[in-house]
Amino acid sequence: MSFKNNKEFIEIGDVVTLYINPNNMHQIEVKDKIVNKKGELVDNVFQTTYGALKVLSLVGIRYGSKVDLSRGWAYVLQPTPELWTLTLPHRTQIIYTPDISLIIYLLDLVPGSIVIETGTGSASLSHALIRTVRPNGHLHTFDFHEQRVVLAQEEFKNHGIDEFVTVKHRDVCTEGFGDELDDMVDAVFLDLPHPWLTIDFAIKSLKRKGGKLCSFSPCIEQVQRTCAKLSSMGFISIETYECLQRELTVQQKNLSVLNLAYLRDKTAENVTKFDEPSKLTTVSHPSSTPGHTGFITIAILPPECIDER
Amino acid sequence: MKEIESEEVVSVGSHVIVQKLNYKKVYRVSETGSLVLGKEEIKMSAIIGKPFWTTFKVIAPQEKRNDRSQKKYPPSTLVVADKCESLEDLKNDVKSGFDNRSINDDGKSQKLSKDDILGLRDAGKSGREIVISLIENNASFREKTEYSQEKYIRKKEKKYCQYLSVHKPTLSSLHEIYLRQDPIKIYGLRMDTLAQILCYSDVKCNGTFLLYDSGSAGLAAAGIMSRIGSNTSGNLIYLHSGDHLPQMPIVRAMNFPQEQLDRLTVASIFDFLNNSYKNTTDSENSVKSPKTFIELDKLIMKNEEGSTAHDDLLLDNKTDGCEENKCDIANFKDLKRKNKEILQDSLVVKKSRKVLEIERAVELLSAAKADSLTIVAREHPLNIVKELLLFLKSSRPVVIYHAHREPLEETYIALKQQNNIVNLRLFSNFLRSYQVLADRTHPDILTNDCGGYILTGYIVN
Repeated sequence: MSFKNNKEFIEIGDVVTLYINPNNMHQIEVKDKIVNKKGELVDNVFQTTYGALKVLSLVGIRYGSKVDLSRGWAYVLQPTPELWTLTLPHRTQIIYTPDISLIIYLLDLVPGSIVIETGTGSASLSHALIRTVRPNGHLHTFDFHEQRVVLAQEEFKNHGIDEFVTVKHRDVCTEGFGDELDDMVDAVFLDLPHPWLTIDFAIKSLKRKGGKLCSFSPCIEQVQRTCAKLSSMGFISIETYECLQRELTVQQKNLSVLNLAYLRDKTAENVTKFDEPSKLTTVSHPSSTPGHTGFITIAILPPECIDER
Repeated sequence: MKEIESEEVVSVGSHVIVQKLNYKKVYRVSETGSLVLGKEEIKMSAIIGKPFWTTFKVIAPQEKRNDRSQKKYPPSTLVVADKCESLEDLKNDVKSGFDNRSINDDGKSQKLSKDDILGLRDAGKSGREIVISLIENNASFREKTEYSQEKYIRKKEKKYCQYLSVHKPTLSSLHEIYLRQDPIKIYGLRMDTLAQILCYSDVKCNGTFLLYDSGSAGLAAAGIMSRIGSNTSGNLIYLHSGDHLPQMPIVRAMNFPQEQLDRLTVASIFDFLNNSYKNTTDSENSVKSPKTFIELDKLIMKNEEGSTAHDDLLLDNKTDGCEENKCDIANFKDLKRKNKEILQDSLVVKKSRKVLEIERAVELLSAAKADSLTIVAREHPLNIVKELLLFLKSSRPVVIYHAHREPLEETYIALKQQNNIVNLRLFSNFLRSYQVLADRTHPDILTNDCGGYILTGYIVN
């Protein structure tokens, strides 16, 4: 139930984010026993770089507490979709929060929205979509990879949010989104190698009052083909964006100050080479940072185009 | 055709977005209202009861049109149009050149004079007809490349377009309008920054969300309210620093139902903190008029700054108060309580709407702490976040936006020392848009580089 309501205390069945430092976070399912590599049922002990944690000992602890590891300590947090994105098991490449937030914003999603997502992938975006559209909206998510569909379904159930999502195993490029979604959805999100192949199906699924479509593609050629298709099908306000988050590391530095002026004045005595150092608070930029993730294309389908189809 | 839901038609009292080509404007629908669009005043009553997305043709009044000396034309009216006429096809019948080697900027290309063109307009010609005459009488149009012809037609279309359409406001469309027209009003918040604030704040349908916003025309509140949604259980407490209710045009323009607006509680941060820390002996005095509190706040602040005191009462307090810790809220409160006790006899006890809102904010957060804290401050955020963190649940996110980096650097260092926030991160964003056309794809020439800075983390015990 970790993603439905904000909780005070950890219970059996919760998924917990174990925070050691910004680059060392994990997600743990709080249960008594797990199956090890040999297929045997053993006590659930989680290994970190700072030692082991008996997972069952977390039950009853308040979220946000410090917990002891055998060689250090960590904090236990209730996962948000943002924390989940940082710790989830990767089955595919995933979309990160800077892009996720822009996708949700541009699609005008609010509680009650009905939205299609394809492909499901590692369900990084799915968790954020579900948070936004519940309690009375719904996410229909599709993937052509059967195992990913099964795993995503299990995750949603474990996270207590399966009532807000339908996961389907389907190749939407050839089969579409299904007749049951005709005139049903407010927004469509595409993260596919050939997004233009699904646009006819997307138009079928969008509500008669119109809706929005967003496509995420890493390559500009994909964007060009998608935009050409969108434009030919009557989509308007087609815009493409790229958003990069730049991390800043806050630093306090002492800068040495050279004392040079006295050299002109030969009479000065007892002068030092250096003045008091200057204290500076500033930021440093990482030497390597993501320079590209993907292009986000957003378009509106006006109602008249749906009537004409 | 499916039956049109009532929320899908334009109704009196609601806000709509009026769009003419790419230009958008917010309009509040009234029985007899009119809208000024460019140089034109347009009577808007025709849009009432029509579904969103309807296209209207702007009809200029026939009378008085010949008198061009008159600066202001009488208002135009609207009629429903089938579809906005497109001018894209105009270049199809015309030959085009390969490059611009034979085109000279000598001002002689257009054979029609300004008067000729205005004459066409006054004769009631449509925008399409005017642009056709412009092309026919333009000597160099055929020499232009296909792309350049397209550009020419788009430019003329903008000038002579007589169509507008009416749309339902959304957070993204309202943001677009405000960012273009008056970015200072929304504190320069760019869409990607706003989008991230909403995500990192973990805004959802259930929970109590705490916002401090010192002036974004209600943009931050509108964003959070829209993500809380209608017919849900979530609440927003919106704290501000003003003496009066802040201007929230964007919240109003979102057309939230009353049920949803009832879950938005607006209070001054001074009143909120004051009432939150009222001790039991104090409570019997019942709530004072908040105006008095604010006046007291001001007086005390002045006093603390060391300016000349206004009367003996305040002078006494100054000597009582601890001068070393001028920002210390506890002392601040002591001072205030003393003042209050002295002044209480002269106070009229009356519960205004403002007082009820303060009480509701205090009540909501005393039942359970907030599920996230969002700060969009023009002021230095440090003291604000220090105080408001005390009202945040453990393990929940705090998000601070500021247009400048330095206040967030200082806040970062102070919060690190406080040792109760993890995953504290400071970042900015780079956003750019693209022109996507076959063989002519490139980033747009101009981009907004004022994304501001976000500091975010999770509070722990």
